Amino acid sequence: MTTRDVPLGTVQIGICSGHVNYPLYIRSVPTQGELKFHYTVHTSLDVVEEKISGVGKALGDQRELYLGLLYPTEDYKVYGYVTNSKVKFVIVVDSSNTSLRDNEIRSMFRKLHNSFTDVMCNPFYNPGDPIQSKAFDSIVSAMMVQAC
Amino acid sequence: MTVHNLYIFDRNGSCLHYSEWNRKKQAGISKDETSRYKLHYYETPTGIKLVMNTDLGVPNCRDTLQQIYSTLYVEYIVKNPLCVLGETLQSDLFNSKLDSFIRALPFFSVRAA
Amino acid sequence: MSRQSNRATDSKKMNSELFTLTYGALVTQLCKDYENDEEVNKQLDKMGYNIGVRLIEDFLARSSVGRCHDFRETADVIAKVAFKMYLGITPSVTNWSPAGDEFSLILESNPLVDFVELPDNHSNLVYSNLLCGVLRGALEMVQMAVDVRFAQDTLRGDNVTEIRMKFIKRIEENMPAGDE
Repeated sequence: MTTRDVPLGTVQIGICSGHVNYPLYIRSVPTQGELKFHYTVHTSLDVVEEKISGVGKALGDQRELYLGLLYPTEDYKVYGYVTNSKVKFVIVVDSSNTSLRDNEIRSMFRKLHNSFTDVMCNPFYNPGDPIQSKAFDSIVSAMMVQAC
Repeated sequence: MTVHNLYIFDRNGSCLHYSEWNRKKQAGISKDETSRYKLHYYETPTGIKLVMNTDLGVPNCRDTLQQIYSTLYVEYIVKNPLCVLGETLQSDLFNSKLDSFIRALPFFSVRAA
Repeated sequence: MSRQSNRATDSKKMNSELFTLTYGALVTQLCKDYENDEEVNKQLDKMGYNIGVRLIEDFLARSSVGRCHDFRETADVIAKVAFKMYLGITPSVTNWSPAGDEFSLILESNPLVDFVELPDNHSNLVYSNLLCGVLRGALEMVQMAVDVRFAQDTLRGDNVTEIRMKFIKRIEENMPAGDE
């Protein structure tokens, strides 16, 4: 895929489950240097935890699922999203990527959340297992191609 | 006018249910009287047969029997997974519902005359 | 005398996700209990049969459908009335055999399989096999022996879901001898 080699197109999507923060799904484009992104996703989870506990106290149960920009680094922007069941979604993009605004990221998360719900509804999927759904894969791929 | 009794048979002809009303004078019913009744019959495509005996003054009861089938038999017997189909009906709920249904019929009344 | 027609229109609503998930839980539990797919298919068919023999009574009570004159009429009633009533879909009836004893129901969507993705290790599982049992059981109660099977299934990558039904014979009513 040529689009994956476009330097702007570094996007990574990670999903981590409930309380143990075990990754359910990690996907990056391009695939080289993937390990580094795994690291990014894991470190961002701490920020996510911090945000949830902070916001939770302030606003009670009325919490926005989208956490916004978690933290920017020199190279990447890291966005977070947490469902009420404490499933965490993380998206990492190149900081040079200007086409993705807050709104786009938000709708990407919403889309991810919806397809994640469908995966959860598949009776053959055991909650907690790594996601291997083809339908989910194709939705994520489409999203990444679009984002690049 | 009154209703004497009601039979429900399954597709194989075995009797699933029998109940009777207004037959207190059972011992006294003479042949003369028993020959003066009307037999109403309703059969579903699945072979459930409902037979009701009334006296001669009662009009056609097809609708009544169909109602017994659809609102009582289907609701309280077929939809109760604990009721084994093809066995004698033992549901108290069905019996009591059937009894009040029959008693509420416009032509159900104890012979006054 | 009160008419019962008002009853026919009261179709109770049920959340389709709950229905789909319930069926999914049933199938996956069977997959855990029985190791091979063939056995699961058999169990689903058996359960469906038990549902069918009861459901037909409900169907007859709710619809004012009487006895069918031929198999084509039966096919129409199944597709247009029964499927509509219980699953909210209307499959199309096609592919009649020249003899008129075999036809296909084409389901464009199957509410049982929303969300479902068959894992690779269940290639022989006929996920919706319950439907076959239901149809077989229901028709048996109206004196028709039929053979029902899935010919195509979207879960296995086909474009449509196709249920093939074959008429085998009329079941004679067996009244016990000597009954009055």
